[in-house]
Amino acid sequence: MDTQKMVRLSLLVSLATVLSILESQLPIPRPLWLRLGLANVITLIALMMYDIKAAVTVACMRALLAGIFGTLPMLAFSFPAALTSSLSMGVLYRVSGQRLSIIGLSVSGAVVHNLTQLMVAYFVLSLNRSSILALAPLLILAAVAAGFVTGLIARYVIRHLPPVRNWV
Amino acid sequence: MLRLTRYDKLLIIGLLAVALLCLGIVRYGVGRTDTVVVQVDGEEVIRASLVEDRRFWVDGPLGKTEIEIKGKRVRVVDSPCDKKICVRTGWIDKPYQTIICVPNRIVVRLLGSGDKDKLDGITG
Repeated sequence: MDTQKMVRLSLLVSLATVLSILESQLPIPRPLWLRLGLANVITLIALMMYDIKAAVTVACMRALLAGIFGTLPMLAFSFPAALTSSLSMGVLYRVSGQRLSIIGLSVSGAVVHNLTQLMVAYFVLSLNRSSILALAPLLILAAVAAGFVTGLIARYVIRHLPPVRNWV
Repeated sequence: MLRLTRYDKLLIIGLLAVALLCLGIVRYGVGRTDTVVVQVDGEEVIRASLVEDRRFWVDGPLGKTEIEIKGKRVRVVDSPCDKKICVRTGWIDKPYQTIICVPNRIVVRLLGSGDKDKLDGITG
Protein backbone atom coordinates (compact mmCIF):
# COMPACT_ATOMS: atom_id res chain seq x y z
CA MET A 1 0.00 0.00 0.00
CA ASP A 2 1.50 3.31 -1.01
CA THR A 3 1.62 6.21 1.36
CA GLN A 4 -0.92 8.30 -0.51
CA LYS A 5 -3.53 5.55 -0.37
CA MET A 6 -2.85 4.94 3.32
CA VAL A 7 -3.26 8.63 4.15
CA ARG A 8 -6.42 8.90 2.10
CA LEU A 9 -7.92 5.82 3.73
CA SER A 10 -7.04 7.12 7.21
CA LEU A 11 -8.73 10.40 6.38
CA LEU A 12 -11.81 8.55 5.20
CA VAL A 13 -11.87 6.49 8.40
CA SER A 14 -11.67 9.59 10.59
CA LEU A 15 -14.35 11.35 8.54
CA ALA A 16 -16.63 8.34 8.83
CA THR A 17 -16.01 8.06 12.59
CA VAL A 18 -16.84 11.72 13.16
CA LEU A 19 -19.98 11.50 11.01
CA SER A 20 -21.06 8.39 12.86
CA ILE A 21 -20.57 9.89 16.31
CA LEU A 22 -22.07 13.25 15.33
CA GLU A 23 -25.09 11.58 13.86
CA SER A 24 -25.83 9.63 17.01
CA GLN A 25 -25.62 12.81 19.11
CA LEU A 26 -27.68 15.13 16.93
CA PRO A 27 -30.68 16.39 18.87
CA ILE A 28 -33.05 15.88 15.94
CA PRO A 29 -36.24 14.10 16.86
CA ARG A 30 -36.22 10.73 15.18
CA PRO A 31 -37.94 7.47 15.90
CA LEU A 32 -35.88 5.72 18.54
CA TRP A 33 -33.08 3.81 16.90
CA LEU A 34 -33.53 4.73 13.25
CA ARG A 35 -30.55 6.54 11.79
CA LEU A 36 -29.62 7.84 8.37
CA GLY A 37 -26.22 6.15 8.31
CA LEU A 38 -24.17 9.08 7.05
CA ALA A 39 -20.96 7.08 7.52
CA ASN A 40 -22.17 4.91 4.65
CA VAL A 41 -21.40 7.85 2.35
CA ILE A 42 -17.73 7.46 3.20
CA THR A 43 -17.79 3.70 2.64
CA LEU A 44 -19.26 4.32 -0.82
CA ILE A 45 -16.57 6.88 -1.59
CA ALA A 46 -13.85 4.45 -0.50
CA LEU A 47 -15.42 1.85 -2.78
CA MET A 48 -15.46 4.26 -5.73
CA MET A 49 -11.92 5.55 -5.09
CA TYR A 50 -10.35 2.14 -4.55
CA ASP A 51 -11.95 -1.26 -4.18
CA ILE A 52 -13.83 -3.68 -1.94
CA LYS A 53 -10.90 -4.05 0.43
CA ALA A 54 -10.71 -0.30 0.99
CA ALA A 55 -14.46 -0.06 1.55
CA VAL A 56 -14.54 -2.94 4.04
CA THR A 57 -11.49 -1.57 5.86
CA VAL A 58 -13.00 1.90 6.18
CA ALA A 59 -16.37 0.55 7.31
CA CYS A 60 -14.93 -1.82 9.93
CA MET A 61 -12.40 0.66 11.29
CA ARG A 62 -15.16 3.23 11.57
CA ALA A 63 -17.39 0.81 13.46
CA LEU A 64 -14.56 -0.03 15.88
CA LEU A 65 -13.59 3.60 16.50
CA ALA A 66 -17.16 4.85 16.81
CA GLY A 67 -17.72 1.97 19.22
CA ILE A 68 -14.74 2.94 21.35
CA PHE A 69 -15.70 6.62 21.47
CA GLY A 70 -19.40 5.98 21.74
CA THR A 71 -21.20 3.10 23.33
CA LEU A 72 -19.05 0.00 23.42
CA PRO A 73 -21.77 -2.66 23.77
CA MET A 74 -23.24 -1.37 20.54
CA LEU A 75 -20.19 -2.84 18.78
CA ALA A 76 -21.93 -6.20 18.79
CA PHE A 77 -24.49 -4.64 16.46
CA SER A 78 -22.49 -2.10 14.51
CA PHE A 79 -19.42 -4.15 13.63
CA PRO A 80 -21.10 -7.14 11.94
CA ALA A 81 -23.45 -4.75 10.16
CA ALA A 82 -20.58 -2.62 8.88
CA LEU A 83 -18.77 -5.74 7.68
CA THR A 84 -21.68 -7.30 5.82
CA SER A 85 -23.03 -4.10 4.32
CA SER A 86 -19.65 -2.96 2.96
CA LEU A 87 -18.93 -6.46 1.65
CA SER A 88 -22.30 -6.67 -0.07
CA MET A 89 -21.91 -3.25 -1.65
CA GLY A 90 -18.45 -4.17 -2.89
CA VAL A 91 -19.56 -7.49 -4.34
CA LEU A 92 -22.61 -5.93 -5.98
CA TYR A 93 -20.45 -3.16 -7.42
CA ARG A 94 -18.19 -5.70 -9.03
CA VAL A 95 -20.88 -8.17 -10.11
CA SER A 96 -23.37 -5.65 -11.46
CA GLY A 97 -20.76 -4.00 -13.66
CA GLN A 98 -22.16 -0.45 -13.69
CA ARG A 99 -25.73 -1.70 -13.93
CA LEU A 100 -26.45 -0.51 -10.40
CA SER A 101 -25.73 3.14 -9.73
CA ILE A 102 -24.26 4.38 -6.49
CA ILE A 103 -27.83 4.83 -5.22
CA GLY A 104 -28.68 1.19 -5.86
CA LEU A 105 -25.50 0.15 -4.08
CA SER A 106 -26.29 2.42 -1.14
CA VAL A 107 -29.83 1.09 -0.82
CA SER A 108 -28.72 -2.54 -0.88
CA GLY A 109 -25.95 -1.81 1.63
CA ALA A 110 -28.45 -0.16 3.96
CA VAL A 111 -30.87 -3.08 3.72
CA VAL A 112 -28.09 -5.61 4.43
CA HIS A 113 -26.94 -3.42 7.34
CA ASN A 114 -30.38 -3.37 8.97
CA LEU A 115 -31.08 -7.06 8.39
CA THR A 116 -27.69 -7.96 9.89
CA GLN A 117 -28.53 -5.99 13.02
CA LEU A 118 -31.90 -7.71 13.15
CA MET A 119 -30.17 -11.10 12.98
CA VAL A 120 -27.79 -10.09 15.78
CA ALA A 121 -30.75 -8.99 17.86
CA TYR A 122 -32.47 -12.27 17.09
CA PHE A 123 -29.57 -14.34 18.34
CA VAL A 124 -28.38 -12.13 21.19
CA LEU A 125 -31.69 -11.22 22.79
CA SER A 126 -33.45 -14.49 23.45
CA LEU A 127 -36.49 -12.60 24.68
CA ASN A 128 -39.61 -12.61 22.55
CA ARG A 129 -38.09 -13.56 19.23
CA SER A 130 -41.22 -13.40 17.13
CA SER A 131 -41.69 -9.73 17.91
CA ILE A 132 -38.09 -9.07 16.84
CA LEU A 133 -38.72 -10.67 13.46
CA ALA A 134 -41.90 -8.64 13.14
CA LEU A 135 -39.65 -5.57 12.83
CA ALA A 136 -38.18 -6.80 9.53
CA PRO A 137 -40.58 -5.01 7.16
CA LEU A 138 -40.21 -1.75 9.02
CA LEU A 139 -36.42 -2.07 8.96
CA ILE A 140 -36.38 -2.78 5.21
CA LEU A 141 -38.58 0.23 4.48
CA ALA A 142 -36.42 2.47 6.65
CA ALA A 143 -33.27 1.11 5.01
CA VAL A 144 -34.54 1.81 1.49
CA ALA A 145 -35.33 5.40 2.45
CA ALA A 146 -32.07 5.98 4.33
CA GLY A 147 -30.00 4.24 1.66
CA PHE A 148 -31.57 6.39 -1.02
CA VAL A 149 -30.71 9.58 0.83
CA THR A 150 -27.13 8.56 1.65
CA GLY A 151 -26.73 7.43 -1.97
CA LEU A 152 -27.82 10.87 -3.15
CA ILE A 153 -25.35 12.50 -0.79
CA ALA A 154 -22.54 10.19 -1.93
CA ARG A 155 -23.35 10.96 -5.56
CA TYR A 156 -23.21 14.68 -4.85
CA VAL A 157 -19.89 14.35 -3.03
CA ILE A 158 -18.33 12.20 -5.74
CA ARG A 159 -19.34 14.68 -8.44
CA HIS A 160 -17.25 17.24 -6.62
CA LEU A 161 -14.25 15.03 -5.94
CA PRO A 162 -11.98 15.36 -8.98
CA PRO A 163 -9.84 12.26 -8.51
CA VAL A 164 -12.86 10.03 -8.00
CA ARG A 165 -14.97 11.58 -10.71
CA ASN A 166 -12.46 10.59 -13.34
CA TRP A 167 -12.57 6.96 -12.29
CA VAL A 168 -16.26 6.40 -12.08
CA MET B 1 -22.26 5.09 -12.71
CA LEU B 2 -23.84 8.10 -11.10
CA ARG B 3 -27.25 8.25 -12.77
CA LEU B 4 -30.18 6.27 -11.44
CA THR B 5 -30.42 3.18 -13.64
CA ARG B 6 -33.26 0.86 -14.53
CA TYR B 7 -31.75 -1.75 -12.24
CA ASP B 8 -31.75 0.70 -9.33
CA LYS B 9 -35.45 1.24 -9.78
CA LEU B 10 -36.07 -2.50 -10.07
CA LEU B 11 -34.06 -3.11 -6.89
CA ILE B 12 -35.89 -0.42 -4.92
CA ILE B 13 -39.32 -1.50 -6.12
CA GLY B 14 -38.47 -5.13 -5.39
CA LEU B 15 -37.32 -4.33 -1.85
CA LEU B 16 -40.40 -2.22 -1.18
CA ALA B 17 -42.61 -5.05 -2.44
CA VAL B 18 -40.86 -7.56 -0.16
CA ALA B 19 -41.22 -5.21 2.81
CA LEU B 20 -44.90 -4.62 2.19
CA LEU B 21 -45.48 -8.35 1.75
CA CYS B 22 -43.76 -9.06 5.09
CA LEU B 23 -45.79 -6.28 6.67
CA GLY B 24 -48.96 -7.95 5.43
CA ILE B 25 -47.85 -11.30 6.83
CA VAL B 26 -46.96 -9.78 10.19
CA ARG B 27 -50.25 -7.87 10.38
CA TYR B 28 -52.67 -10.53 9.27
CA GLY B 29 -50.81 -13.82 9.16
CA VAL B 30 -50.22 -14.25 12.87
CA GLY B 31 -52.82 -11.77 14.01
CA ARG B 32 -55.19 -14.21 15.66
CA THR B 33 -55.37 -15.18 19.26
CA ASP B 34 -57.95 -17.22 21.11
CA THR B 35 -56.45 -17.91 24.52
CA VAL B 36 -55.70 -15.75 27.50
CA VAL B 37 -53.37 -16.80 30.30
CA VAL B 38 -53.34 -15.27 33.76
CA GLN B 39 -50.28 -15.68 35.93
CA VAL B 40 -49.84 -14.80 39.58
CA ASP B 41 -46.22 -14.54 40.68
CA GLY B 42 -45.19 -16.46 37.57
CA GLU B 43 -47.56 -19.35 38.21
CA GLU B 44 -50.28 -19.89 35.66
CA VAL B 45 -53.63 -19.85 37.45
CA ILE B 46 -56.13 -19.49 34.65
CA ARG B 47 -56.14 -20.35 30.97
CA ALA B 48 -59.35 -19.34 29.25
CA SER B 49 -60.79 -19.10 25.77
CA LEU B 50 -61.69 -15.67 24.41
CA VAL B 51 -64.80 -17.01 22.74
CA GLU B 52 -66.89 -17.07 25.92
CA ASP B 53 -67.64 -13.78 27.63
CA ARG B 54 -67.02 -14.00 31.36
CA ARG B 55 -65.75 -12.20 34.43
CA PHE B 56 -63.53 -13.68 37.08
CA TRP B 57 -61.41 -12.79 40.06
CA VAL B 58 -57.78 -13.69 40.65
CA ASP B 59 -56.10 -13.64 44.05
CA GLY B 60 -52.83 -11.74 44.36
CA PRO B 61 -50.78 -10.67 47.39
CA LEU B 62 -52.81 -7.44 47.68
CA GLY B 63 -56.22 -8.92 47.08
CA LYS B 64 -58.62 -9.77 44.27
CA THR B 65 -58.11 -8.48 40.74
CA GLU B 66 -61.17 -8.52 38.53
CA ILE B 67 -60.69 -9.55 34.91
CA GLU B 68 -63.23 -9.43 32.11
CA ILE B 69 -63.40 -11.26 28.80
CA LYS B 70 -65.88 -9.74 26.37
CA GLY B 71 -66.11 -9.80 22.59
CA LYS B 72 -62.73 -11.58 22.17
CA ARG B 73 -60.99 -8.88 24.19
CA VAL B 74 -59.61 -8.87 27.72
CA ARG B 75 -59.20 -6.16 30.35
CA VAL B 76 -58.58 -5.71 34.02
CA VAL B 77 -61.72 -4.17 35.48
CA ASP B 78 -60.55 -3.53 39.00
CA SER B 79 -57.42 -4.05 41.03
CA PRO B 80 -56.39 -3.43 44.63
CA CYS B 81 -53.11 -1.80 43.55
CA ASP B 82 -52.17 1.87 43.92
CA LYS B 83 -51.58 3.23 40.48
CA LYS B 84 -54.12 1.13 38.56
CA ILE B 85 -51.80 0.89 35.59
CA CYS B 86 -53.33 -2.47 34.75
CA VAL B 87 -56.82 -1.01 34.69
CA ARG B 88 -55.71 1.93 32.57
CA THR B 89 -54.07 -0.41 30.04
CA GLY B 90 -57.59 -1.10 28.85
CA TRP B 91 -58.60 -3.79 26.41
CA ILE B 92 -56.09 -6.09 24.72
CA ASP B 93 -56.96 -8.30 21.76
CA LYS B 94 -53.77 -9.12 19.82
CA PRO B 95 -51.28 -11.98 20.25
CA TYR B 96 -48.48 -11.29 22.74
CA GLN B 97 -50.21 -8.23 24.19
CA THR B 98 -49.91 -8.16 27.95
CA ILE B 99 -51.45 -6.44 30.95
CA ILE B 100 -49.20 -6.38 33.97
CA CYS B 101 -49.99 -5.45 37.55
CA VAL B 102 -46.66 -5.34 39.33
CA PRO B 103 -47.95 -4.63 42.88
CA ASN B 104 -50.42 -7.49 42.76
CA ARG B 105 -48.01 -9.76 40.82
CA ILE B 106 -50.53 -10.45 38.08
CA VAL B 107 -49.77 -10.91 34.38
CA VAL B 108 -52.55 -11.24 31.82
CA ARG B 109 -51.29 -12.18 28.40
CA LEU B 110 -52.71 -13.33 25.11
CA LEU B 111 -51.09 -16.33 23.50
CA GLY B 112 -49.82 -16.10 19.95
CA SER B 113 -49.88 -18.89 17.42
CA GLY B 114 -46.15 -19.39 18.03
CA ASP B 115 -46.16 -20.16 21.73
CA LYS B 116 -48.90 -22.67 22.40
CA ASP B 117 -47.57 -25.13 24.95
CA LYS B 118 -44.06 -23.82 24.43
CA LEU B 119 -41.80 -21.85 26.70
CA ASP B 120 -41.58 -18.20 25.76
CA GLY B 121 -38.26 -17.64 27.43
CA ILE B 122 -35.84 -18.79 30.06
CA THR B 123 -34.01 -16.44 32.34
CA GLY B 124 -31.24 -17.15 34.76
